[in-house]
Amino acid sequence: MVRRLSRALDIVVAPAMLISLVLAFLYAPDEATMKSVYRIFFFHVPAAASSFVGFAIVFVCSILYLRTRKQMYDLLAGAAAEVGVVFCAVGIGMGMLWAKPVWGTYWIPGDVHLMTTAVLFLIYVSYLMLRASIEDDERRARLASVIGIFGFAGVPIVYFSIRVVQIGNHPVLLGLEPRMQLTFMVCMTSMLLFFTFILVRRVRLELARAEVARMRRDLLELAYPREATARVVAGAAVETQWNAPDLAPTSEVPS
Amino acid sequence: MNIGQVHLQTQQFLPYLTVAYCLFFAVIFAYVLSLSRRQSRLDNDLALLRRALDEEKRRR
Repeated sequence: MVRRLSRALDIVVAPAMLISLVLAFLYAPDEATMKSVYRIFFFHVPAAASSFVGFAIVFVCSILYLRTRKQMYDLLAGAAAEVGVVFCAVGIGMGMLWAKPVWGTYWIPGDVHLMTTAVLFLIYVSYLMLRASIEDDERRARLASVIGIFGFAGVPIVYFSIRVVQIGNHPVLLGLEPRMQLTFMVCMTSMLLFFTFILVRRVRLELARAEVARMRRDLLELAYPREATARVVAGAAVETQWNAPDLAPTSEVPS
Repeated sequence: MNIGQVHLQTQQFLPYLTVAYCLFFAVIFAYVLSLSRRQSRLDNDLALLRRALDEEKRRR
């Protein structure tokens, strides 16, 4: 199913992005005050929105993992967090490049929206760091799920920061001219497709990694039944006992 | 659109617009490229392991 979805997205994504670029640069009119530079908005906002979708997937999968303890949910949460962080970084970068010519500075330290977005980005970077630092699958999944659930609190804070508090310069989307609106909707759809395309690729990578780990365990159990079982039970990292690519056992494994 | 205080100077915004879109595509495609590399490395590992597993089964 993942493979089929990946193939369908391979066909759809490139034309969708091309159409978005054409609309953003050739179809949408200039904005009265900001002229052409506002066109950054057509990719900046969808990139940020896609990262929110990624963080929402982390949130849902973390809850599902804690309820069911199925590794698949943890795998999906890890993949969504990584892709979400990439899109969030791109959104922040594009926003900074939009701010410089419009506000005269790349960053306004007192702006609530900018600061909460930076904090949200750092929360998910730390989530990925935590995942990378724990070897044991079960422990990593459990701790990451807890951070994935609490970290999501940052998303509504970022979203409502400009709508409720309104401290700083960041704009709130009020009304767009019909051509701008159409362009924005197309860009948003393409960006979500692009996000899904990358997420599916990332999930496929995780599935392949799980398959490699499983096959290494099978091979080890087949070659050294008693020792391998004892080591698996003890929670040792069995994979490290092999010297890739010839798969010859190291001196640690008794022959 | 409510855009706060604007200090826009005509003709100075085009480099920012260009760099912003370049940044987007550079970052995303670098990430996709790294995913592809990781995937091909894992595919190689998988093929190797499958072969080793088959040989081990045949030997027994």
